[in-house]
Amino acid sequence: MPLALAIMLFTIVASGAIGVTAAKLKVKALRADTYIVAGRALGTLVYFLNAAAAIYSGYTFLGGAGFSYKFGAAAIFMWATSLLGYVVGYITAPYIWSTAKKNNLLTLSDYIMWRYQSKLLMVLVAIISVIFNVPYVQMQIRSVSILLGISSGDTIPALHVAVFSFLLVVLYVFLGGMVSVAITNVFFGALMLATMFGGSLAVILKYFGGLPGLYSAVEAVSPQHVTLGLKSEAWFISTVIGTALNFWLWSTRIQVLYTARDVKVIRRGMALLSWYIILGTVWITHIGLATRALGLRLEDPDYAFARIVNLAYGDIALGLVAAGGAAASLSTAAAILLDQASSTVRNIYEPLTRRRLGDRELVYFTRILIIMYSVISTILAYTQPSLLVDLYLLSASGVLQLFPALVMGIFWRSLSKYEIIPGLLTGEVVVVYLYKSEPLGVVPMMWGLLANISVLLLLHVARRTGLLKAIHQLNSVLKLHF
Amino acid sequence: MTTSENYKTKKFEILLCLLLFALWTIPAVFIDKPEIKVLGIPLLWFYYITLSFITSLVITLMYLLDER
Repeated sequence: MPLALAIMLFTIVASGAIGVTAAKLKVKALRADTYIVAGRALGTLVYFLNAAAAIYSGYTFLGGAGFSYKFGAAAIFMWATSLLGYVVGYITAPYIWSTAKKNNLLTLSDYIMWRYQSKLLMVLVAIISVIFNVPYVQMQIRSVSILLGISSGDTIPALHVAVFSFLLVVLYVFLGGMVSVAITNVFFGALMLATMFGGSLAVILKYFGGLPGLYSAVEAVSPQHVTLGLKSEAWFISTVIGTALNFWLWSTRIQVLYTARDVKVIRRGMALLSWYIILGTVWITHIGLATRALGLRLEDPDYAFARIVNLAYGDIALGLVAAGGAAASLSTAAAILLDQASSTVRNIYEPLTRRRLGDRELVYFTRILIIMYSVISTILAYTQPSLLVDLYLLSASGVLQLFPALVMGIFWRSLSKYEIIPGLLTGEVVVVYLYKSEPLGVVPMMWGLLANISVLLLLHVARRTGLLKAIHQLNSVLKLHF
Repeated sequence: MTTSENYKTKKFEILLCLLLFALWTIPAVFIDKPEIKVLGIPLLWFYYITLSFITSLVITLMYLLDER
């Protein structure tokens, strides 16, 4: 067995063992808040590494280098997404956390229900969150499959082994819920940071002696890659704004937020996570440029990081990077599965069946749905592999439409469900309609948000000025006479 | 809303947030000039690497100076 593959598989099995052991140690009583948000008990270090591992997926790990390999400086948008995301998180997350703690909220949709007192909006947000996360889990299976293929030299059936790894994750999420996810993610988060920073720095120093040497080498081969020229400036600016605003709208991330012990842990976590970007994503973005400068030909841009590390430092380094990539993918998949399952039970099943589940029942149904969603993601990974990136972009656009409901609703107290629901639906329709097109170079998610906020403002003005009441009265009069 | 919350965001935090959004977006139009280099690094990359550090520092300082 190739050494790189052995290291990667050892890491996956070790993480499974950690997750199962954590479940045995911590989840004795089946309380819903213990199972779903780790009893809101995580201190700074565990919270920080759990959040890092849950937020940064195979998409960042492989896609960061892949995107800069393909589009050069446009990949800088990834730095902005996270760093501005943490600024937004610093000013909004403490409020969301303290509200959740006071009212025993477990999901993003729970928060929306509390804020707007609308079951319709709660179900809508839960459906959007669950559906748009399906391709995200599927993408993690594919990322592990790519890494297995590279580290084994394509000598094993990579997709089958990736699905097996995924089932290991399902096992510990099923047994231990967020406790297992968080403890495993401490291991994953640290491994990811070490491989992203260490791997990238080692490659840049070995071949280019530092950043100036790297940029000169890229300019000699492909000058456009050090500029924004491969994407338009309008694309860059709209993507930075859209993805940064969208950062805390993923229901998985809100659920990870709820695991913090107190507000101080959240704020400290935001500061630490911002340095995680400086040490991780910023460096990994340069790996795409390095691959381009060395003239490596790749089957797929996402292979950049693994291929260049293998070239520079051989099998052991490749094994460590592949293990880090697997860690990034599996940790994100674990957090999403738990969020999808718990959101479905609490925010779709309970209101539709008009049943209020006890703690044991809630955990029981969540476990059943963890299995169900893992089966769906596995089937999609086998049957629809080419849909991944497209669906991810659609997911990010769809999720951004929750911005007014979650973030604007914090500062704008008179905002109500009567403005939010029509705005949200309009935004989603625009995003689907503009799918794969970029009018004026601006990404669809921003057009969707613009339409969403415009409808919301119009309705707000109409409601405040009594226009809607007047229309309603006119309608009644017309019905009476005709 | 069934329960009122005590946690209030400070105005200067919102202003800093808006300023950082502006710094990450507007200058992109003017600084994409690979012929201008700072310490051997193209201006665009130098600007965004520096801005990344500044953004992280701002979040860290907000936390350190926060008395809540």
